[in-house]
Amino acid sequence: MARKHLNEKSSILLFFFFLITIQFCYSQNQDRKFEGILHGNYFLIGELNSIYNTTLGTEFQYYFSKTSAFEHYFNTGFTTDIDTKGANLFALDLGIGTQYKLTELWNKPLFIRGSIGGLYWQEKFSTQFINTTVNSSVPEFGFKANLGIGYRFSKRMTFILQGTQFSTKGTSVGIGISYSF
Amino acid sequence: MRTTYNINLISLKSFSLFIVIFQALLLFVACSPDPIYVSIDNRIGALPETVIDPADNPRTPEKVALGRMLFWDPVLSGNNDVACVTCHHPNNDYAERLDLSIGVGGHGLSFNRSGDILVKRNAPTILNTAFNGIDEGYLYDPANTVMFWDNRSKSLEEQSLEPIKSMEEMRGNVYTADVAIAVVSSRLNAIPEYVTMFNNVFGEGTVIDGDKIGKAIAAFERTLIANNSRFDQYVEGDETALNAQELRGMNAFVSANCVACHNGPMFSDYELHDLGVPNNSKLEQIDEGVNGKFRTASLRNLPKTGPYMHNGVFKTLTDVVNFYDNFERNDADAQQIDFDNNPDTVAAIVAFLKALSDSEFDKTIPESVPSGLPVGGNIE
Repeated sequence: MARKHLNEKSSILLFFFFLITIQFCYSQNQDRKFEGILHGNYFLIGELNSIYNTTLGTEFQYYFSKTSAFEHYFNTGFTTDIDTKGANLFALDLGIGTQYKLTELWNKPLFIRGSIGGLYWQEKFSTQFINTTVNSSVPEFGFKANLGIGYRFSKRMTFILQGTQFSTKGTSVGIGISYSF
Repeated sequence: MRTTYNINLISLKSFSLFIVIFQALLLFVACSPDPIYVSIDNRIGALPETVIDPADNPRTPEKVALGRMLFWDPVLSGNNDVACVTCHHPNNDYAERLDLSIGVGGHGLSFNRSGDILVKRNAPTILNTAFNGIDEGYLYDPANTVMFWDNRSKSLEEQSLEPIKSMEEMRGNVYTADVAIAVVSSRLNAIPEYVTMFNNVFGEGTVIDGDKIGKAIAAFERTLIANNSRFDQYVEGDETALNAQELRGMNAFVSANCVACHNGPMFSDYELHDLGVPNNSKLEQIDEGVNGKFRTASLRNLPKTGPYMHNGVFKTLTDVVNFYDNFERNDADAQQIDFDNNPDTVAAIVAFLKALSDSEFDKTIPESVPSGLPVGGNIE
């Protein structure tokens, strides 16, 4: 059972790499309309903090509008917990955000970025009782809000520090790395 | 300064990629793998639907009715002021909501009870005591189990007579403990209604004695069952019976290895453990229990049966759960607990514990008792 669990988590990681590869194939537009982000988060407070500590996620952003100061994007992402025994958390979000260039550090742009949107998450539980094992899932809808700082340290790569609010259920902090294309 | 506003027209091709990725993520969430349960040696489970009676004390409706009258009648106490129900009232899930019971000479019920004589331990609930001793194989012997915080009685029949002999709980100083049962039996033999009821149960010409009093009260107590909590419903197949926070709490309860002691259908191993629970300052003498040990409490029907622990020293379930973050691990089983004092984890576990309650049990209050004394004793 432990090996099956390991394979399922490995599948998640392989899926991430697959999506990144797909995005790379579309990386032809010099305007860099897309941004793919890999991020890890740590819950600080909230109901989700009771058993889920660390999550791993990916996010994809499509920049649809640029002004002189702001860059607006649609974003969609996926988050999952890491190695919570007896429970799994899977979350999907879809929203809209914006990015504003604050200043430059060492000649590299520093952004403040924020987004808000809808969130769908599903928690799955498996518990062993005396005579039976019960598996159940609890789907919920809510909102997701994100506020962070990004530092574009190379032409296409950005380091991100962010705080995320998962509906009324949890607040997390995290770091991420993004690739623009 | 004029701001230049450049709007990129949404490229259908580019936006389509965004939608494809979103749909792929949605599909991934929908097909997400099931978790692997926490494999544990000690397991919890639903309560059985029926109760086992001792071979020498089968239940009949007449015996249960007699037991109910005895349970509510203060004629069993020295000063005719305390009944079993005084400290085990159905309004409080057959417990009391006091840290330490106020026994002989007291007035009022629960929070409103006042008096000078304290019982040294918390009054546990009578609910589900019919299942005392039940293990993970659903095996138990009602004639050879454990009762009280120190496991000193082996059946409800035996346990029900002990408070009658206790100076603080019911006897007072009217007579000595060694003659208490005999005195109470003679009182009952002098009340025609009780004579009739005992004859109907045990046969014509029955002489009321402690054995029959204990059997009648025990038979009534075995009807006080609360075995349909939302936890029981969840185990039996209703996956919607517990909400997400309660499920997380159950996951945390199992992962922290609370089940090392709180296992089985009653969430108790019925063993004695030394946890180093703080003393209750109301007591002049420290209660040592059995070499510092007290029995693992059942976790059924907790919300109305606090305060908690053998001396009621913890007022809330949150206090109880927080206690396990840093306590004296003198006990081999307690050393298995691996608990993180995360406030959100505590709240989830408390939510789960509350889901172990069932409010659908017999709350009947008789209008009168055969002795003619106030029903329930001095509880008004």
